[in-house]
This record gives sequence, C-alpha cells and structure tokens, in this order.
Amino acid sequence: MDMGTVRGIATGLAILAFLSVWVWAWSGKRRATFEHAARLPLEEHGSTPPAHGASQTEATEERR
Amino acid sequence: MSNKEANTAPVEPYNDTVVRQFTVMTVVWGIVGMAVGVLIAAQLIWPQLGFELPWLSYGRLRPLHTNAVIFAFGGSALFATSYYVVQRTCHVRLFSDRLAAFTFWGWQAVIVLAAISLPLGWTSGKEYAELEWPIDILIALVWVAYLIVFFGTLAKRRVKHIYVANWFFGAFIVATAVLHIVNSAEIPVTLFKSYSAYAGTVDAMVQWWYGHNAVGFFLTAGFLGMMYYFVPKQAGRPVYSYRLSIVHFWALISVYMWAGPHHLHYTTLPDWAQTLGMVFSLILLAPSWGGMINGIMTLSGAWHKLRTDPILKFLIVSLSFYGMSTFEGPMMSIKTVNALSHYTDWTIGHVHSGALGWVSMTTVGSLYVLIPRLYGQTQMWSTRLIDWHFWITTIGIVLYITAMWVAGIMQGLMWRATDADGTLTYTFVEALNATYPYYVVRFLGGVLVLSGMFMLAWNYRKTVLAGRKVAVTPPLEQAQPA
Repeated sequence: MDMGTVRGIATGLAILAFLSVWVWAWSGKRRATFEHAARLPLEEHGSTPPAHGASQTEATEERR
Repeated sequence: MSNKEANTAPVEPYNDTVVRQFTVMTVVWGIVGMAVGVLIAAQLIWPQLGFELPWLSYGRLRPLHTNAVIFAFGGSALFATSYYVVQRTCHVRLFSDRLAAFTFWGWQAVIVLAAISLPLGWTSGKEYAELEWPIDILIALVWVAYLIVFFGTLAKRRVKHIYVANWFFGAFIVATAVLHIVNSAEIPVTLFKSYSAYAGTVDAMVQWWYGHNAVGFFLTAGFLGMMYYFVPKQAGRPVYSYRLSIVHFWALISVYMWAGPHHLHYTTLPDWAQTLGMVFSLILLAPSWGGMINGIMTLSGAWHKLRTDPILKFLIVSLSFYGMSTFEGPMMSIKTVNALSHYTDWTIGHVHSGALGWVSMTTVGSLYVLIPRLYGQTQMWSTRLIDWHFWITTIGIVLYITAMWVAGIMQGLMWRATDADGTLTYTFVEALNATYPYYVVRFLGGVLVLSGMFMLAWNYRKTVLAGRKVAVTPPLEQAQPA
C-alpha cells in the first residue's frame, strides 16, 4: 500500500472518530444523564448532613 | 445519624485538609514566583541587580521563575481544585488520606529542592524540565501517588456520571505523568548531573513534545477542569452546553499532542514534521474556541452578574485571554509568522497572555470561590478588595503583553533588516537598546500583577480569621436518572 492510501485511510478514521463523538454526545438517550450531571457544580454542601428526604436537587431549585 | 440513614453507606466528611494546605501554598508560591519574575524583569533593565553573584544571575533565576509559577503556583492550584472538585462531584472522600498527604509534602519538597538547586546552577538544561535527576524521580513518585488518589476517588464515586471537569483533570494527570517520565529519561553521571537519553534533533523533538504538552495539559486541560466547575458554580447556572464540553474534551486532547514541532521551525527537524506541527496548531483553534465559548456562554441570560461580581469578572476575562492567546498561538505557529516572531519578546508576550491572563486569572477567580467554602464562610472578607485586585491585575497584564508585542515585532523587524549590499542594518545590541522602554513597561505591569497577589493574600487571611474549619459531608443518596 502506498503512503497516500495510508494517509487517506488515517484521515478517514480520524473524521469518523470525531463524528462518533458528536453522535455519542448528542444522542437523546444521554440527555437526562447530562442534564443531571451539569447541575453537579451547583450543589451546596452543608456542614451537616441534610434532613430526611431533602435532596440537593430541591435545594438547588429553591436557590434559583 | 438515624437508623433510616444508616441503611445507606456511612457518610464520611470530605478531606478538605489537603485542599486547604494546597490552597495556602498556591498563594505563597504565586507571590514568590511572581516576585522572582519581577526581579528578573528588573535585571533586564538594571543588570547590576544581579550583584555579580552567580546565584542571582538571570540565567539561573529565569528557570526558577518559570518553575515556581508553573509547577509551584499552578501545580498547587491544580492539586487543590482537583481534590476539591473530584470530592464534590463524586460525593465521596478522597481515596486515601495518607497518599493525599504524601502528594502535598512531596510536592512542596520538590519545590524547595528546585528553589535550592536552580540558583546553584544544577540543571539538565531542558526548558521547563530543568530539575536534575534525583528531583525528577521524586516528581514521578508524587505524580503516581496523585494519579492513584484521583482515579481511586473516581472509582469509589457515588454519582453515576463522571462530571466533565474530572475528565479534564484526569487527562491532565495522566498526560503529565507520561510527558515527565519520557522527557526526563536521562543518564546520571554524578548526583547532581545527568545527560538526556536522547541525542540531537530527536532530543529537541522530545523536549518540545513535552514542552508544548506541558502547556496543553498542565496549563490548559487542568485549568479547563477548574473552569468547568467554578464558572458554573459562581454563575449559579449549569455550563452552557454539556454536550459541547464532551466534544471539546476529545477534540482538545487528541489534537494537542501533535503541536510540539512548531517550537522547532527552521531547525534541523525534518520539514514534514514542522509542517505537521503547524497544521495541528492551526486545527487547535477550533477546540480551544469551542471551550472558550462554552465557558463564556454559561453566563448567557445572567450577564448582569458581571456588573456586580468581581469573581465572575476574573473568570470571564480569563476566558477572554484564553481565546486571545489560543488565536495568537496558531497564528504564531504559521512558519512565515514564526520567522518574524521566534526568539523575540513576542513569544514572551504570548506566553504571559496565556499564563497571567488565562492561568493566573482562572486560578485567582477559582480561589475566591473556594477559600470561603473551606472556612465555613459564604464569601470572602472583602468583595471590594477583589474588585481592586481584578482591575490592578487586568491593567498589569495588558501593560505587560502590549509592551512585549511591540518589543517583539520591533526586534524581529530589526534583526531581519538588510542594507542594499546584503549586510545587516542593525547590530544585535542596537535592537536590545531599542527594547529598553518596553522592558520598563513590562516591569511595571509585573509589579501591578504582583501587588494584586498581596491583596489576595490579605483578603485570604481576613477570611480565615473570620471563619473556622468545618467538616463538610456529601449529600445523602438520591435516585439518579439512568
């Protein structure tokens, strides 16, 4: 195989890898997980454990 | 703890001791490293400031400055924030308190050894990797411990998804280990002297593969991790696009690795390798700007906060400097531009637009979010002082980089100017003489940035005095969407 073909294949594979990342990131399945993950920095961590049933999601909702 | 809660795993408080230790040292080493920078900037104007002492000569202090600001100041900031962020976003205590303490004391030992050995003139001569072989071994040990603590914490996380900031921190830790170990392969001849395992052009290529990825992973990926946590935190909104952050991550880490050869344009490095480095550097603009836009757009719909919150000013202006220097970098990697800019003070201007504008402003902004939380407070002692710090440091950085741009372009043009008969129009010393006024402006810029660091230290002290160390525990378990 000549060098030109190898380079062509390598470029093709790189483009494919790049597009796969986009497809993976934009797939609807992961939407909810990502939305949940994106809120992780917004949690406030208290010095005592929160009371029963009070989740940090509610706590962040209150702050908004 | 009630019986009901005891059903879940016992809630251990976070290990904030090591975070506090690294945070204090970030400020201490920031002041030391920048003070050495100001001293050597002054030496370029008044050479007698070396006092004819070998230990204070520019050639020995310059690596001390770069090592102190990159690895002592930047490194401590990365340890502090990565340990803080990985615990908060994984809802668990650090993997091992002992190993974490080892990373702190080990890293401080490395810094102290650097501060002793570099002025003594012990150097392996590789830029940003000057430390001699016994210290290199200690760095490798500390770094492997860091890797174990960080990934060990990820492994025992109680949150299903690994937050994107941790991806960037993880990539920075793994890449730095690989870069350091490969580039520091050397043959010791005495306790204080070694020679590189590579020779000639190969040695240069390994060195700049290391050097540029130190920028790409240590000074970029690590600080992007900081950005992806502290910008949303301070803005009170999730990152603009989480999906874009994933594409940003993979694109950035795959492209950075190949950009190193742009440091070796017009050298004995084969031409194809130089071109490869240039092309990959140009491609880097895309992921860099993707990340910058993602960070800045996090404020979308909350721009008014910029008016009143100096911490957000720090973080957003740092992203603007990031955008600026990641545009400038690819431009300077173009061979014809590089022919003008290389070896001039333009490079120094570019580096400081990245290091002061992006790295130090991100660090300072993040510290202002972090410090009160480490001492049971909701905010720093004085918000006004943060505002002063912001303006003094911004003016200082702008003075610094504009002076170096003008100086660099002038030097490049003077060096290449030829008369009709082909002889050089200017001698080297004439270009140096013309640079003096810009060195004075750069020195003033440096003084302003350094004085800002003292404001941070003072504000830090007052915040600590008003607060107290509290044990912070992770939130209790809750249902997570699949």
